[in-house]
Amino acid sequence: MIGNPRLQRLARVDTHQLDQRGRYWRRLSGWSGWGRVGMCLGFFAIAMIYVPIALLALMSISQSPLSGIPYPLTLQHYGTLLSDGRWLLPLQKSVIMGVVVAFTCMLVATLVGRAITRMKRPGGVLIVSLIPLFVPGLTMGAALFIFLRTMLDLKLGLWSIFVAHMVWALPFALLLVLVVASRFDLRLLEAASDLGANNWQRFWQIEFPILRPGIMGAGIFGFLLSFNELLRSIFVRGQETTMPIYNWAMAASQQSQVPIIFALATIILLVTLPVMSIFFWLLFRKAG
Amino acid sequence: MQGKDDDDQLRLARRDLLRGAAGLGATALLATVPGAAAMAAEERVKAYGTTTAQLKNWDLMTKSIGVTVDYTPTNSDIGVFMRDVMANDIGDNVDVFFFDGGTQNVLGPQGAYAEIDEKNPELTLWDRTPDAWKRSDLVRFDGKQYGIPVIGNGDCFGYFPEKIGANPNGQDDVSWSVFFEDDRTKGRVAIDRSWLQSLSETANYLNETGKQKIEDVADMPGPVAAKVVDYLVERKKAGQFRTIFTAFEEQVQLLGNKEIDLINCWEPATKEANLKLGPNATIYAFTVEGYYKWLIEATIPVQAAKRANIDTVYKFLNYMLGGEYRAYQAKERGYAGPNMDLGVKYAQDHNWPKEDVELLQYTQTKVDRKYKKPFFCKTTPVHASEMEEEWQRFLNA
Amino acid sequence: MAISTAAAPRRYRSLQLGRLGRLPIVIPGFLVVWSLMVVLPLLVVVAFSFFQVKYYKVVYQPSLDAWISLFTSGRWLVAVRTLRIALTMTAIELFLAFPFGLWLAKGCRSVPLKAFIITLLTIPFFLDPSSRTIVWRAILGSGGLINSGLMHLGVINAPIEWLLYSEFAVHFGMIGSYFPTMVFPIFMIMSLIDDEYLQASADLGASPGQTLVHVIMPLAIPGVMAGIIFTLVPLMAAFVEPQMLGGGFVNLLGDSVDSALRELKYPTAAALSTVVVAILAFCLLVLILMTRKRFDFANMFTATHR
Repeated sequence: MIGNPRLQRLARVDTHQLDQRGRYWRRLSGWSGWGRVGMCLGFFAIAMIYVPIALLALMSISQSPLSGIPYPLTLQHYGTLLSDGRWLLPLQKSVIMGVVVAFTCMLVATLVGRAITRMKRPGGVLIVSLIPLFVPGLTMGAALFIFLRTMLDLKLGLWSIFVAHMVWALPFALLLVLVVASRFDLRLLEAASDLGANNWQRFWQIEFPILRPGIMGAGIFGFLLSFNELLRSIFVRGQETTMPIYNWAMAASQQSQVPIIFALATIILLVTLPVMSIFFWLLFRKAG
Repeated sequence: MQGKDDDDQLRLARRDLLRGAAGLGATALLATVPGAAAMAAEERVKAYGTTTAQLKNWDLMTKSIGVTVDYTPTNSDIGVFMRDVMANDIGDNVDVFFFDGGTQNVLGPQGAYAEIDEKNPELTLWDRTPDAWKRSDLVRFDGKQYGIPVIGNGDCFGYFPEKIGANPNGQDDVSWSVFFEDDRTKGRVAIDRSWLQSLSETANYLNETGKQKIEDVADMPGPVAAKVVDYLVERKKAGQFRTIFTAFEEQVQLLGNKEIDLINCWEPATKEANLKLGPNATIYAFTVEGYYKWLIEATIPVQAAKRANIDTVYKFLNYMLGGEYRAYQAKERGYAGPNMDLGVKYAQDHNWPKEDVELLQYTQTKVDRKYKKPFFCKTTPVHASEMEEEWQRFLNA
Repeated sequence: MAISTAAAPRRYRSLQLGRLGRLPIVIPGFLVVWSLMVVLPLLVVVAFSFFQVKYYKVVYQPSLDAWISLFTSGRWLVAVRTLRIALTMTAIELFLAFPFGLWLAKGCRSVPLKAFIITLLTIPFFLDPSSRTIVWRAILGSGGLINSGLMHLGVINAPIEWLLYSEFAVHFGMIGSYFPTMVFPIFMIMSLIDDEYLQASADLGASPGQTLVHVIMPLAIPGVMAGIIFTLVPLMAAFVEPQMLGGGFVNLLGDSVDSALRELKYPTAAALSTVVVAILAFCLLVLILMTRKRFDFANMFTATHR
């Protein structure tokens, strides 16, 4: 890391330049409270996420959940939810699909991401791989449907949902790997090569540990995007029902589903909160 | 989708190959999910359709007639439904469709629906079903019987009686003018985002009050729809509407929180709101000008008509003409349907509380009263494309 | 800002190094599969925009109807409106997330706290967005918590109507929903910045502000770009907040496409989507041209090799 050009550039920041900046800027830039400001901005945004979620959890134990008034309290919605059971299979499918998409994303994003960073002109490949991001979800779904079903005449089902989810999630996964890979110094591999490491050793012992945050991020995003995906799935579902499709369909049932959905959301919240906390804690501890 | 039969063999081979290549991992993993298998010898029907036709608990039916149903739910999105039936060949695996009556106008002539076999021995209640239901245009097309009516209602709007000076017992015939152009309700009206409903209700109001002359309020060619939308845009700019809503939950919330005074919602929304606000706090209107009259029909895909379990399918459909289904649908949603007398009888036989029985009887009188007014909805208007295009002007105004 | 912010140094690369750890099959293989899964279907859909749909059936005759009606019905306006709101929100999220990402990566030293915060940012993805959003209506409505609170305190006499069913409400509701996707990449790139750099910068007498501008920002650009893409893209497709909080007065792209597809109007949906992609491509082009001197986008994600 010695002799980094950025540090050399930094050394060129001379006092003359600083004087031109004016006093106000100097005082502002020297102020050490920026960390706290950053923290506060983030906590504000997190509050914006959790105010409705907290209220939702509260409403899930109240008589009329849409009113905004929690009393009288009741657990009956949880009873209804547990005796219903129709949502179990969709939930199961969504979880499995999410896991499969996550692992495929990790694998493909790592392979392709590494390859892209070693290209001379990666611009073209990059743009092609990011195209699905810029097409409205329903249109992408319609495109896949017309192509797979109308033109190729395939029977749609879980496999086509998987394809649609990959089209949606892979660009995100790829970007995450690229962000990390772009900070990777190829000379490390050169050094390893000089020390007699073979291809696999170079990847597994040097490259992978550095890329790991990106690869993990790719997996997490892959799972989350798949778990939530609705717009494309509607088109290519065949006769499968995932969790988002289930919620979407139930919206037309002309019976209030909110009590049940709120209860389900609260259960998911209570399960994922500790599980994900431990997962990230282990991840960071290992990395740190 | 032409030439379906000539190269079936080829198609199959290619399909298998591609499917194998693309979906190997996913399919293999998911094949182990329980529930997909387990096809026992019991009588089983696979249904696909809008969730409005669902009972909260199908076990009731299994107990009564021994038929189990696998219900794949879908939204009331007509595009998705038509695509699934036409392009997705969903009839290959499904025995019954449930959707808004009117789809047979398109899917019947295309050969997606089988005609109903009115003589099937399992369809015992068909003959006693009144013609008003079974011969409705919403289940027939071109003189052919494609659908069996399941539930129906006349849609209009819900209101708070004190806000428009109406009789709190809810028996007044209220004019749609309070919805569109009353100063008392200005900025306090919520209108449905679905043009199928809102646009034709507006057209019906304009037609009935003589403000515009419209031949078919449920199916308007572009220029006619344009004039109706002009009127709506003018009302929108005048600040008549508080919000344009989409989902059922929104309807319940808007009423329950008194965010608005009038809303052209579905009837169950007023029911849900009254659970919170007290009985008759909100009223689902009787109107002067008419209702958006709809029904849900059950149809049989052509593929299913040839399958072995077709008699079970008719047994299932017959159940929906019977008392138990009728009674529970009316109780849970306030919707009527054919043979309400059987529903009332069922409730009495099963010692339902007196209020519940009266509610069923009232549901019948209510729907009879509504059905005397104009107009029937069209789920698949010939001019759908132009109407949708015009509606965009209202949304973007 | 006299010192160039990024301008990666001209990279010297030998043939041998370029090959390190490279599988020659990966890129061509990926491109073939991707073309089948993405490019081809999209081309087909674009071709569909030149057909017509009559009574729920596609008429395979060339026609410009879909394109003409896009403009006569004012439908194209939703593309512009959507882009405007998406860009505004992306800017707001960047403003919130950049300092936070920096703090989370460098300022927050407690690993459990860090893990907990990241968890908090992950959880919303598991929860149904409609039910999260519908709750806001009980808070912002004319009889909601804020209005009744303010009226109770005597600050206002009549409820503030524009709190709900307005563009304000849509923006407000989106703040929480689109924050995590902006934070993740920024947090990740900040974590990767070596503490030694920051230490060295301080040792050389740079103030925190100078370190920020001259060290952190240039190094963070790939993460920031990823964050912008991660946030802008879902925002372009947003439909829950506009529907539930905009009260139908904020008609956005997702809704318009949905409405067209309900009548199986593939051509209209295709034409509208093409317009969106064209607008986005145009914006990207302008951005690249404007920053060409300072920043080489094409090589942003190329592995460092000096």
